Amino acid sequence: MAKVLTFHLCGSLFGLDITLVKEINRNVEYTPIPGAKPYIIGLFNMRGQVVTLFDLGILMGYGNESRQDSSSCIILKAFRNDSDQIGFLIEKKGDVADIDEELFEPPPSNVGGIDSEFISGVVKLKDELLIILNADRIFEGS
Amino acid sequence: MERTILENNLVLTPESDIVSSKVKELVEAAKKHMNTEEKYQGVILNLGKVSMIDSIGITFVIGLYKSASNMGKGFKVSGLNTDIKQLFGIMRLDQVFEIEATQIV
Amino acid sequence: MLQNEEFIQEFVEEAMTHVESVEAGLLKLDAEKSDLNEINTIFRAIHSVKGTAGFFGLKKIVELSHSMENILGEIRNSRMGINREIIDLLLASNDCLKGMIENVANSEETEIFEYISKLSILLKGESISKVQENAAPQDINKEKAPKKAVEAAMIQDGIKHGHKLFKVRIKMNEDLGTKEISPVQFFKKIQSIGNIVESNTDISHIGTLDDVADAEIYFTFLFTTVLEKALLPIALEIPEDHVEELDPSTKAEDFLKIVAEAAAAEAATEKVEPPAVKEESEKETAQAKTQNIVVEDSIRVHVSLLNNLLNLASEMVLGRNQLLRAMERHRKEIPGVDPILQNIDRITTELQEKVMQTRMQPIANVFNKFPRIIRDLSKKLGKEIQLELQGTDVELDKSIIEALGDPLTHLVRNAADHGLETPEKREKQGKPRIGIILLKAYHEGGYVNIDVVDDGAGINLEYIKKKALEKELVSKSDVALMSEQEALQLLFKPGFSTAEKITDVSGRGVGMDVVRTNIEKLGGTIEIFTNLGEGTTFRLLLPLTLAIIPSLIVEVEKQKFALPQVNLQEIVRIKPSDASRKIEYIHNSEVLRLRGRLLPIVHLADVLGLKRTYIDPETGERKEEKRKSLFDQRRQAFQEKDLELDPLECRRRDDANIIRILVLKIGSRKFGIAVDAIHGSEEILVKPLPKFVKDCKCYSGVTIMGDGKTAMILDPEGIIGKANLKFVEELDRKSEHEISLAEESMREQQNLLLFKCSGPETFAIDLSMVSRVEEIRPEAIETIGDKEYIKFRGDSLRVIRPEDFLPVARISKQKEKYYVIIPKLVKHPIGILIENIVDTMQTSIKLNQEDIKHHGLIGSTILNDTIVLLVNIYEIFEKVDPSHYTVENIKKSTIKRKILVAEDTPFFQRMERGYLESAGYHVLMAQNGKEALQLLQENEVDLVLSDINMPIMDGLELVKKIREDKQLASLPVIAVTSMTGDLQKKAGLEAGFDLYEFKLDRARLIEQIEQMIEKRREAG
Repeated sequence: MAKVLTFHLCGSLFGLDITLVKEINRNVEYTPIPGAKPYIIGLFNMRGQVVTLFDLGILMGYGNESRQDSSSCIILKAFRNDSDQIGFLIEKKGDVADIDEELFEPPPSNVGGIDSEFISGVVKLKDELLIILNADRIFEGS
Repeated sequence: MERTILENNLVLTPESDIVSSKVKELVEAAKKHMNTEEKYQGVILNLGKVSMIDSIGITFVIGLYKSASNMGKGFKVSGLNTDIKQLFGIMRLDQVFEIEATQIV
Repeated sequence: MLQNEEFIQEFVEEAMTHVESVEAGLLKLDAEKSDLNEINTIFRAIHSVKGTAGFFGLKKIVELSHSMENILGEIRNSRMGINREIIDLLLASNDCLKGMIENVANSEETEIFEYISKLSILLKGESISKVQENAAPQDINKEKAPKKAVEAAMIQDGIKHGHKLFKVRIKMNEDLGTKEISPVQFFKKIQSIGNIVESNTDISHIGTLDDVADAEIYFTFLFTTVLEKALLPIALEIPEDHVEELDPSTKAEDFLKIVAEAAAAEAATEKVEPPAVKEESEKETAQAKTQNIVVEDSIRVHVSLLNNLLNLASEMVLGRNQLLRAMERHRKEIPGVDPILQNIDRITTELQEKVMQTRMQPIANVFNKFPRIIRDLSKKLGKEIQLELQGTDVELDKSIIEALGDPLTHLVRNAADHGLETPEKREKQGKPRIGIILLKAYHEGGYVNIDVVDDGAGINLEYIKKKALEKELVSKSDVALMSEQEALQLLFKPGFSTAEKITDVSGRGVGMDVVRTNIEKLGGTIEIFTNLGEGTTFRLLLPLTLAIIPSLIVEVEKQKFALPQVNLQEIVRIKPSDASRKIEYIHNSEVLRLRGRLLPIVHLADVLGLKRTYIDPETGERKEEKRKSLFDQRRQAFQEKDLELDPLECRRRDDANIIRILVLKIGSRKFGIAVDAIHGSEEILVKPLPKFVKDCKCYSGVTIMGDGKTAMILDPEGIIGKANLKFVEELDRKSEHEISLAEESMREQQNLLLFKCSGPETFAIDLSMVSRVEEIRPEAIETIGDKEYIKFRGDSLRVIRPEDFLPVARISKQKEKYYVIIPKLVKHPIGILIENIVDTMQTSIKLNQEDIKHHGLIGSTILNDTIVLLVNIYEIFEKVDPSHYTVENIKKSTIKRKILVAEDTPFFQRMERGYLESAGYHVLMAQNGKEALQLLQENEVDLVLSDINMPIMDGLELVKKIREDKQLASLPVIAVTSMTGDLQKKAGLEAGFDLYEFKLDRARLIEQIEQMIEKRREAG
């Protein structure tokens, strides 16, 4: 059984292995970086550490419909001794779900416009499709 | 500690190693023996049964030597094993008091 | 597997030092052939390594060093000569040894057979067969303690072999007993690592059997060993201070005395002994000590601990800054808090400096690998190269030192490969066959410079340009316009290589572009200087410190950025209405004309890719700026159209669109960046750029500002690149020259009174400050308390002697008469008592550069070959009678008022600046009317103080021009002059001056200035 943190982004429901999540912040005040790649929203100060904020929507190929007004974000734990902390904006936080790994299905080649390499699998929930993100790809995304 | 009188000498033979745990005992015994009524001219410390000596032990031997000297008695150490002999050699104790290799039984 | 594993790190460090000195020694031998001292040093080093390795059971290291030692032994005894072959082999073996030491855990797996066999071949080939001088490596467990005759021989032998001599003193019960170390074991250990040559046991503390429980036995011994002083106490498990290193040449006859003495001295401190004995033994110990080698006073600390300290110190600095800022207002309110804040401030600064110092290492650490590299290179390339190192003591932060290795190596290889010519070629050109590569480190202007200089062929600019065009790294038009520096910088473009083929030596996948990037990552820059046929210099400029740097916080399009101040030269403010005068177009780029120079400028918003906006003059709202240029017609148009508008309103709107240009200088390149607003200085902690943003060349890091928000740190070098700025090295030379000539000829003449006091010094005072000089007899001087008075015009006049307030000697003599200078224009006059009047003269004063900075003196100058000290009577009077003379510091308003002073005479410049600044004003100085006008365009001031007589444009013309200028018309302008006369005054007031005052009437002037500024402020 995997514990998955779910959240809404670009109108879809996504999930992320909760062991990868460091914290969820609300009302994040970030400063944009002019001239940086479009999927980088900016930087913010998390208790003295500089965290790079990503726009997952753009990163995954969704286009820039993502988080216009949102200021909530998920911060991921430091990845493999990397000193760079990263996070990404979300629209709304969902619940933590216990998902039976057996229910993971391989991603269809094109899930609503997202590059499939970012998805490690999908789970059919009662009302909607839960898209499980492949965190490794996100880190390498740059 | 055993004690005998041999040829005018008081021979003291510790039964155990001369280490810190035994030293108090040894001191008491030695003092008692040296205050004997019997006459003797010198003290011989027989280390035939001693295999190991620690720093307090060395202090004991020296203390014994000093007490004997204060009482006007001679002092000799005998029956040392190789290790202790070497030890006393390095420490130049052979220049303080006499050391005899052979054991006096 | 390893014995005593916990001490292995110590071993590695010691051994590495030895191995490195072996390498250095072998290289020296190579150059200078046989030097017995050098050979001995090498031998001892190898012997040490062998000995200590034995202690740890590192068999392979022992074996290899033993083999090396054999050959070295033969050489040392002149049984074998030195040649290149031997040195090469020894170097190679040493390298292998180095490798094994570095990777000590795996050293036993290293293949050393090759070296051993080669070494033994060499050994057999030349030596007469003889029993090896050295015994088998495992000299452990000697049986008996040596006797005297043997001792002496042993010492001599030991010392010959590089053993050290130590005196060890232990308290048997304390050091061994309490730790449960058996004496037997202890002595066995000692003998396993060295030889005891003499010993002594002090039993004087034991009286009788009764003392046995608490008494102490002191045992002292002299001991030779290969172990270093640092390792010895660890090996013996005794405290460091029990071990003393002795001079190895200590005579054997003295040994007994030394061991006996030590005991006596020790005992003396603990037991009451007859005084005579005590003194003697102490003296002797002192003597023995002076023979001994000085104890080390350093500690090994792990680098990560230092890094932690550095981070903490940096955070502390920021915390202090925030504290000071927060407390600014309350400093005076809360009693006692000010000195506390000052204390914390000072200590924090010192703390940070000291912590930074811990990380400083000499650059020799990096330079030292180059002799070897050069040696190998010259062999490989068939060139004769001599390496020179200068400035090896220069220190840099550890991380910079570490990062310099690769770039420097590449540059040196490059110099050897591409820079220097073959010996034949050099000879043909009349150059010496041996080419020189110089590595030089030195401090300059807050940076550390490292020059890599070669006297080779130089860089052919044309060739470079051609290559760059061929590789399409640059366009034809760009190339045509390039300056020399820019063309040379092409070398750093990725993909560039001038060699026809990439030689193995310099082209190992490390390009010049990587070199530059590495240097820039450290916050530094590279410059190239070259002369065809003569040589090339690569200059690295590296910052001294990392972490915290003072920065300017600037804003564009509502976003804040931090700009490191190290490159900031000045800030220029231009109103859009003046733009046409200052901004020009050259070669399609905008340039700023600044004091005769042309600087390329660019708007930060453009560089960063932000849309530029401006305030619409009519609606007051922000609109997008569509035009490319900084200062476009639109704004000019606004000016003319709104003539009807109230000038202040005009001004306000203009203000909103003032462009601020930061003038930056990197190396020899100067340029300007235009920003919207400047928010002041902050000391910021530099945090590295996240890797996702590393592709943005404009940023060098990130910081967290005082308000908790992150801000990008700008990288001027990157901005130049992104904006593709062109540097036009045009100097408007003519106008500069003109100005200086004119200034020379029109210096104001001054009337000076030269006088002497009781000492030999000559003083001067401007006659315009002197009312009269009275001659008096000594009896006329009345002394009340410590003050002196004379009767002057019916009143008591206080008199002072200048020597009492100036850094000159006062010599009391009997004089027949004195003189008193009565000053003019002071409310509470004080007479100045002097002894001699030397002269009066009219002259122009050239003040000496070296200020005699003392309260009371304006400066010094040379007149008639004598040094004359110019007296500032105001400052002296302030000291004498503070209640009447101190002008109150105007600190009421939080903004410092700015005053523009137009004055051409340095003497008066200094005077006026002096009293204006001490009154709390910020002073801008102009040399003449024209400069004053220029400064007024660029800066907002509250008042103008102007001289009348000035070159190029005098005061009258200046004030007229000011009144003509709409912006400046309402500015208060006060004329100050050294002449008093009503005619001039009238003309002045007519021309437009608000007031006409006397230069030297300081108190009145300041009053007037205050009043005028107040009035103006109230008017809005």
